[in-house]
Amino acid sequence: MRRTEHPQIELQIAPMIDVCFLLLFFYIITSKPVKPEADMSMTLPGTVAQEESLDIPDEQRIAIQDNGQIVLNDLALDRPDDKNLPALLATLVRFKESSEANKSEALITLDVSDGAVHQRVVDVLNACAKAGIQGVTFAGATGDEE
Amino acid sequence: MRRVHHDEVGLQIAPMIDVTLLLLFFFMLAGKITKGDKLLDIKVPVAATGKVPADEGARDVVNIDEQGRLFSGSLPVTTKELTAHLKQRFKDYPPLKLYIRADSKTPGKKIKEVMAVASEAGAIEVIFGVIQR
Repeated sequence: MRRTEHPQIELQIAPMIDVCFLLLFFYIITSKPVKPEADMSMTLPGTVAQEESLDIPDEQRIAIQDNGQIVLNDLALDRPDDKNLPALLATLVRFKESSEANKSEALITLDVSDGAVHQRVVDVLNACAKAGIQGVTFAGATGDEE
Repeated sequence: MRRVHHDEVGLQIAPMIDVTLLLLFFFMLAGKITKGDKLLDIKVPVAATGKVPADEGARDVVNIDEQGRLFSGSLPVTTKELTAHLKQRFKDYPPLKLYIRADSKTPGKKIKEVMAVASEAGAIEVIFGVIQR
């Protein structure tokens, strides 16, 4: 028995797969993996009624200048383009150790210049975190420009 | 003439198309979702000591771009509007945690301004968004 052949239009699978693959590769290549963001937290000073006598903590002041220069208590430390801040880190580690020996809390006040970039602020916060100092505040964060 | 059927394992086209189309839709949708984030185009600073939180909890996100423009989430706001919004948030859902996503080149003036706003609104904890490296 012979088959009767009808001229009919069939769905062309092969070109459809080609197009699908092309689109797939396009989207795979153009999609960027999303990097998870990490946290660097700091606690803001609040107003709490004090009933007992308070130990005054050791406080150091770090200024961040417009060009990225770090100044700790009027002493310039590290180069403005040095991200690791080794001299500042060494000083902060000593400061933390001496505060612990005195049984007082180590506090850092950041005095950020208006033109300093945010990356530099984070570099200093990073050095504080490496030294184990958690008490970090911003000068002028409560509106009292010093 | 009868056809002879062989027991052979051929390439299964149908499931391959299914999987290909699924992957295609996935990447198309993923591209669309991440486009929303790209609108702000904020490159957060790098810090080795940053910690990826297991639980992000309830936190208010403030984006600050390179020019220092403020966004509450993805909505552009002025400093006054941000203060009012954060005060309301603090009233409704205390304690207020503020997550600041600032560009690595954002000027320090804007960071201080937002810190002052956070303090005025009653925020206890301020978290800077960083990329761990």
